[in-house]
Amino acid sequence: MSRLGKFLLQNWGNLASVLGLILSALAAFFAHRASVDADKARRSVLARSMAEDINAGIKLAAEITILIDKGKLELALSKCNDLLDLPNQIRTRWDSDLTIGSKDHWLAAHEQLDSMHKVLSKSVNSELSQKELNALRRSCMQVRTTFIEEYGTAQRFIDGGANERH
Amino acid sequence: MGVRMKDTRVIELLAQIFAKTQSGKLAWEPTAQEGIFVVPLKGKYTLKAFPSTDYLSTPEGSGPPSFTLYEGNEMLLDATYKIEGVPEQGLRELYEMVRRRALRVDKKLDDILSDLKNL
Repeated sequence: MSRLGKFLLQNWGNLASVLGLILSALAAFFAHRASVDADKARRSVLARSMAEDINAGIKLAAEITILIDKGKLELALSKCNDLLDLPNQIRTRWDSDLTIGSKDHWLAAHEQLDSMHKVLSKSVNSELSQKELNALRRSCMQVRTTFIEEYGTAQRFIDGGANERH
Repeated sequence: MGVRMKDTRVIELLAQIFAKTQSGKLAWEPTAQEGIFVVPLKGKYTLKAFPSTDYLSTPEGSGPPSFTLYEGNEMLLDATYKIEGVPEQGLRELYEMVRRRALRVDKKLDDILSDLKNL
């Protein structure tokens, strides 16, 4: 019997253990990679869905700005009503996927919309002063900026910048 | 009439808000409602600065400024001068600092000053 044959016969148990260990390590490695890839894919789908919601918000915020500029405050109030809950919906729906910074942005956007809603509601019964109109415009711009920035963040994530969000 | 009760947590909270506002770590924003400023905290809470006390229950409110903490639509606490140990002057100073931060008054003043110096 050759020396190799003898060696294999004498150490087959040890060799099998080593082989088993290597195979286990490889299985663990591929399982981890598959899990990371699946998580990335899941987050990408979520980000795409979030981006669609945010995009709808950007359009509404732009419409509100135009309506305020044109003095159509009742229509602006109606659109503001449509947009009012979206920041909170986004924040709670994607709670585990958003950074604290993003959640803070959505909280602030909700507060801005809430204050706009109160001022616009007041405009139904009395004329707003120039100061109040300016404050309305400023809040509206703030809301638009939040939607645009967060859209950019979601889009970056979809385009492969997964690490930037976490 | 409110009961005056010492609440050390509220006093500590106001002191921290004062310090963090002073160092520019809190991103206060003006709202569409004149004199009301807001800052989000920890992705969960919002703190509002009102120009007077009882602002929400009476049309214009009365007394010194007040600060209210919310979680969603739920009010967690109303920090007013009615709490023992919360000085009226302290609330006024904090509100004024918040107002200046939110409206970026100091930045604008610096801008004007630098222009004036170059005239």
